[in-house]
Amino acid sequence: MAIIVNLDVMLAKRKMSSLELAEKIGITPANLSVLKTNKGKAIRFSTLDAICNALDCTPGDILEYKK
Amino acid sequence: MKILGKKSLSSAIEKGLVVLLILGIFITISVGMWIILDWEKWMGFFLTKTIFIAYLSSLPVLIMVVEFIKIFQNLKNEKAFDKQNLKFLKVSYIASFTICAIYLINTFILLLDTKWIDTFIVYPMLMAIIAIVFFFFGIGLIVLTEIYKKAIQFKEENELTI
Repeated sequence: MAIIVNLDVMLAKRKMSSLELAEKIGITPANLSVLKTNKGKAIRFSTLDAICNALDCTPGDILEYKK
Repeated sequence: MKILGKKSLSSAIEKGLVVLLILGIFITISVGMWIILDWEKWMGFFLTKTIFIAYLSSLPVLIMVVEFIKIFQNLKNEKAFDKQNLKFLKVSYIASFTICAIYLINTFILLLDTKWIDTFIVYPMLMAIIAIVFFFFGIGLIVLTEIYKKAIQFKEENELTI
């Protein structure tokens, strides 16, 4: 897929662990791992909103389009 | 009434199919033995060719029953949208079309036997009806397989939506 999830980059920038983020946004670490490893098929607006809120960033910082 | 899971309709159907499979294997072997032992009697019978060809259809029928047992086992274990079921359905529709082909051949063999055709026109008609039934059953299974494939895709998509 051409959409890349740069969640690990943002997590490193904010010095936050995956487990901490999962707890903050209320999803399981397994689901967050699916998202981080680009195995996910879709992302809910509510999840994106929670991630952006927790990491203090915009969707563009997390999602990237590569041709 | 419970459809999926243990002590459900699927479980009862699975048990019924196992009994049917055992009966089917027993009948297939018995008829085979009967034909071999009474070979001379069979050779003089005008329906010998058609009975031999119809006998061949027992193999795809048994394969189909085995596949349905596997499907109902999965339904019993609440694995309704399992990718394995697609394989089982595919084998089932191939078996169904094989039976259809066997009975079509049988119909033509009976129609070509002009010696008996006037007296026993009901036999080719019966064979043709069986062929048609299995043809449409096969088509139905193909449609079901496609619907199942879509359902599995939707399930996977739903599971991977975070």
